[in-house]
Amino acid sequence: MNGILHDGWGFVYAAYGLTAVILAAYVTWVTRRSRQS
Amino acid sequence: MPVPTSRAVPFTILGVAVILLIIGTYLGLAIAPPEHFMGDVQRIMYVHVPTAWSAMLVFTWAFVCAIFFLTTATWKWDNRLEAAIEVAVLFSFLLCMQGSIWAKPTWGVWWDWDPRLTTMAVLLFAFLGIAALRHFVDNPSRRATWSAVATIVGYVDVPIVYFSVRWWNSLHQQQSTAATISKDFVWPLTLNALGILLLMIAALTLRTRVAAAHLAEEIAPPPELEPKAAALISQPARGIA
Repeated sequence: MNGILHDGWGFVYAAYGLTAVILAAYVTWVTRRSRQS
Repeated sequence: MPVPTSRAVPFTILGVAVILLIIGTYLGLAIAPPEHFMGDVQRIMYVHVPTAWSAMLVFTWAFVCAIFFLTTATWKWDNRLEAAIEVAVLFSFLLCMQGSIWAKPTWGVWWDWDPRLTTMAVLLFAFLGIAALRHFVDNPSRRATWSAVATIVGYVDVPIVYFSVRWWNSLHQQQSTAATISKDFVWPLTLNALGILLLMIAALTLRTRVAAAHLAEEIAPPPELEPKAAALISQPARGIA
């Protein structure tokens, strides 16, 4: 059963994917700056 | 000003956070059943709600740092405030982005000037403004004081964001908690909430150290003045203005 909405997986992947990419980029950036300081 | 050198603690926290998020995301995407009305789109809740909880916590942490800075005038609270403001901007941006992606399939639009969304956008831009203020003010004492006051003013919006879905007729649903959702959804929500909370703590710890190191460089005395100036730097913030 997929509720009343169809093809919702694209939105799910977009939300998880963008969140993961943005968080990973921020943590990498902070880690690099932390190592330089 | 001593800058902590050990990074083992934040990296350990970060490692635990990543493991929790991998397990929580697997449970949320592969194991938990789709919700009856929204179907698979509801799975966005497992990342959106934990982000919202952590965002509210980091705004509150920023408020606490601002209060402690203004009452104790010690630099460590300004360093913590700088980190909190930046992480608050990051989490509130993520929150708006995830909400927008959820809104399109459920409400039919990417954005609506609904009370919850509007008050959250105001909060995001308020703290973005405070981050910009910190960037453009060169004097460390003024920067710290102005941003602490602005944070306290900006924080007024946080309870408005939280209660907006109860006070007004909002498109946004009321708050979800482990007690208000199906037990099939509890584990992915709980694990992701812990994972994002730990990730936020690790990011705050690392970013606070960056802020402390930057401040130490900024107000470092010339070599010949070092003993006297170093003593001055260790004094409360108002002594350096």
